[in-house]
This record gives sequence, structure tokens and C-alpha cells, in this order.
Amino acid sequence: MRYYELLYIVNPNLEDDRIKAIIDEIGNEVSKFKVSIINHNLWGKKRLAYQIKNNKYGTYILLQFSSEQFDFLKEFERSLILNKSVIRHQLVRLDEEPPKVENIELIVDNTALLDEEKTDVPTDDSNVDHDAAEMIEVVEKTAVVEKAEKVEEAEVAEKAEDIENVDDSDVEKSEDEKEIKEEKKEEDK
Amino acid sequence: MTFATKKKYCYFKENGITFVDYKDVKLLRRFVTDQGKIIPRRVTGSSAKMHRQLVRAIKQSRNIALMPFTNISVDG
Repeated sequence: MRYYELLYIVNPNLEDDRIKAIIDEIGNEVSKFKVSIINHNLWGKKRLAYQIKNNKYGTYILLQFSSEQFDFLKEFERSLILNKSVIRHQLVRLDEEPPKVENIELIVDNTALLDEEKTDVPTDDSNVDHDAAEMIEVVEKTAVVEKAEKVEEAEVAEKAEDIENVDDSDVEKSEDEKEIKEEKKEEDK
Repeated sequence: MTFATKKKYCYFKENGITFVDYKDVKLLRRFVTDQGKIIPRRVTGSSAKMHRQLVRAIKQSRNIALMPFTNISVDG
């Protein structure tokens, strides 16, 4: 028993119904060859790394199947090439049996998730708890400091108000002075 | 006079990855320069066995347009 994986790109401008039709079409095509399909799912529309036949985007579809014989693959690939809505395809043999999955993202991002978790752990593991504890301490400290600051701020605010009042009076005075000066000028004229 | 060099470790061994999937672009991007070139093993420190798999996966990924052959003309 051999396991194969076919990833093919379909023209992105097609409607959902048409894409479903293509999936069925290709599914039927493989099943002609006494093949058992494991997964056949839509991966989604993605931006291509480079243009293929003037397409910037492509709809990816993943097909995984197992087979006893393997002399049909050439014929099957030829049918894919002749299919006009399939822009590109790649058939790969798998070493192990792929798991049955409903959502393709699970297959695709599995290792990505793995690597994220595991890279973070060894580097930060020893520091995480300390960091967290420190963070809490810091937070508490800042809270205390903030309270103190608030008190201070209140005092400062009061002073500031006083100062502002003074300022206001100063301003008023200066305005008054200006008015007086202007009046004097007018009188001079 | 000796220089203290940072010891390099195989990323895959450290993370227990035994199979490199060509669909996992997020992982493969790590081993490719901004231009899209494969970074040599002597730089990444990955083991020979895994590097062979990695190279294969990157090339497969390029073939199906998940990764670029070159990044010079990204927006053509």
C-alpha cells in the first residue's frame, strides 16, 4: 500500500460551485483507478509566490489517497494537465499514512504550531515564571506608586490651580495694561 | 588565541521534528534568506539528514508556488 498526496491549484476566478464541481471531477478521476481517497479538501485561496499563467492568486486543493498499484499515476497526471481549470499540480508520495482530517489547516499548520510552542519553551522556560512573578511585583509596586503619585498629583493640582489663578490674574492685569496703553495711544493721537 | 563561537544546534532535533512538510511555509521560511535562497547547513546548523529533507521540501514548495524561487520581482 502506498500513500500519495496531490496538491493542485485551480483558477481563482471560478465560483464556489464550479470549484466543487472540479473537486468532484478529479475525485471521480482518481477513483477510476481503484484508489481509496483519504482526504480531499479545499485549502483556500492564496497569493501565489510567483505568477502562473498570469494568475496572482490560486485556489489550493489537497487530495490524499492510498493505492495498491501505482502504474496509473502517469495517466492520472496527464488528465490533470489536460484539465484547463487546474493551473498547476504536484503529486508527492508519502512515507506514512496521513490522518483523516476535516479541516486542512490542521495538517498544514501542525508543525508550525509545534515549532512555535517548542521554540518558545526552551528559550523562555526558565524566565517565564520569574518574569511573571516580577511582573506581578512590578504591578503592585506601580499601583502603590500610582497611589502616592495620585496624592502628590492632587496636591500639585491644587497648587497648580492656585498658580493658574495667579496666572489668570496676571494675564488680566496685562490685558488691562494693554487696554490702558491703547487708550493712552488713542488719546495721544 | 581562541574565539568563543556560539554552538549551533539542529533546529529539527531540538524541536522533535522528524518530517519536513513542504506545505508548512512558516517553518520553511526560517531556512531561506530574504531573497529566497536556501541557507547553507553550515550556517543553520541543522543535521545532514534533516537538511536533505528540508531542501527537498523547499524545492517542492517552490514548485507549487507556496514559496518563491526568487524574491527580486515580488510584485510583478
